[in-house]
Amino acid sequence: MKQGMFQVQCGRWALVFVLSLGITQASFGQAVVERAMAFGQAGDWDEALQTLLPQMTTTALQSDAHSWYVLGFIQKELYKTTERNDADSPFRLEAVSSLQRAWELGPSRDDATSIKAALDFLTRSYLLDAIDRVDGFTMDSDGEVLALFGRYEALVKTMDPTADVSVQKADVYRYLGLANGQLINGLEGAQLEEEQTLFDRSVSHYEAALKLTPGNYSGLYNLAITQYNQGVRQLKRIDHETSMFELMEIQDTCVALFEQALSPMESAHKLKPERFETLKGLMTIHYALNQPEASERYRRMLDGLNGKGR
Amino acid sequence: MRFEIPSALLSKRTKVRLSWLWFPLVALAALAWAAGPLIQGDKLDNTDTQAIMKANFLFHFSASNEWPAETKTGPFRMAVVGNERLFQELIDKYALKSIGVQPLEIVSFDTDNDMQEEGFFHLIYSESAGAELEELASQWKGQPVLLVTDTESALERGSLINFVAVDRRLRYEINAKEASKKGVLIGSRILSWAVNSGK
Repeated sequence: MKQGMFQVQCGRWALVFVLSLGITQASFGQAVVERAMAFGQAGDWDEALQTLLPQMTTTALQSDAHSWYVLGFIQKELYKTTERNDADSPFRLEAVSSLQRAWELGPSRDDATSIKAALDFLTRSYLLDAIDRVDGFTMDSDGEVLALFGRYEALVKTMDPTADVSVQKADVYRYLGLANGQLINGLEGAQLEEEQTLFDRSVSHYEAALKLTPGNYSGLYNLAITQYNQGVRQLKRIDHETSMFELMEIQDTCVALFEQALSPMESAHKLKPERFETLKGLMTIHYALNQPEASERYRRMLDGLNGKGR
Repeated sequence: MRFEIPSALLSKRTKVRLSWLWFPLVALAALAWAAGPLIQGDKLDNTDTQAIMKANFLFHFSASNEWPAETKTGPFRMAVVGNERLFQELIDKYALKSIGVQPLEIVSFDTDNDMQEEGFFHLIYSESAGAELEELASQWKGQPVLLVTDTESALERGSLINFVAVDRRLRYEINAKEASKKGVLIGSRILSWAVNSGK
């Protein structure tokens, strides 16, 4: 009987011990989070991170949504203050990961709103970086831009699986098409290999954009211009050293490019029948394809537009 | 989506200030993205593609055919009538070149009649058609002048080489027999690329 009483007593003490340990751990964890927040309030994000990060492996914090949210916020602030110009910013990746973990753990209503806002900020930062890279585009940076947009897209879909970013994605492809095309114009001398690479990339970006948004006027028009101008570029290489055989070969290449340009230009024209640029494009392409009647038909339409004072 | 700094981490003052900053930033970025190209689109290259092709053909017609010995002194004279862009293309790329030992001289005229007082030309490119072309051909009858044109039924009206469109490409037809009668021997390379050299 006494032995039984003793066992019950021991059990109670063990329970108290375990509960106390849990409460102690939880209190300790809460204290760590609060200390990290205090550093954050003081603007010392490094110290905030040093305080919280090593404790995140403890049982109490590992499964605590609020702790992951605070950690994610600290990492986000560190990204903003120290790695803003780094497209591959580790802090940004870590912040996303911590905030997503917080989200999965079921945060409080207040935290949930803030987590969504923080993730939204980080998501948009990838889009802004992609825009920035297109703006200052250099050869071979297509992959970097697409990777940044890919992260943006993935994050958007994490937050809202039904979200559709195909229009923005088509914009990115179209801008990449333009950017590659512009690099061709900046090439000096006979850099034929680079020119062909840039041209192929430009066309492939426009085609990718048109797959996403088939009826996009700019995509169609710019694709046509890129193909037409590439043909003219070949023609401009003709000089007194060009043999008759080479002349015929160049002409075949150009005609193929002009024919390719015709289809998207016609599609663009169908979308905006009175657009000056498209009519001029069709007039010019038909002229280059030795189709004077068709060229003349579009010239008359242009004259008609000019007559209307457009 | 609203951006909110957690109150636990920032003072009230900071919170307000950052909220103010964020909205215009997002709005600007969205505007920049939606409003249009960050980089300008390529413009249509306005180069006259036909002029490039024709100029090179004319250069080959000059360099690969044979003129009588009496015309091989002085410059090799080429006249371009009614096509200023073709003339400019020839000047840009071929003006300082030689045809054999003869320096190439290229002259531009607005009309066939403007040529009358300008002496002999080895090669004349004219865009005249119909009766005008016949008149031009008759002016140079019996002389070793290679008359090149770009109009329908031109060979019947006295042209020796006429540009034609075949499968969307610029090619040419030749009246080699008539050329030979005038003393201009059409070279084999020129003949081999002609679409119709049987006349």
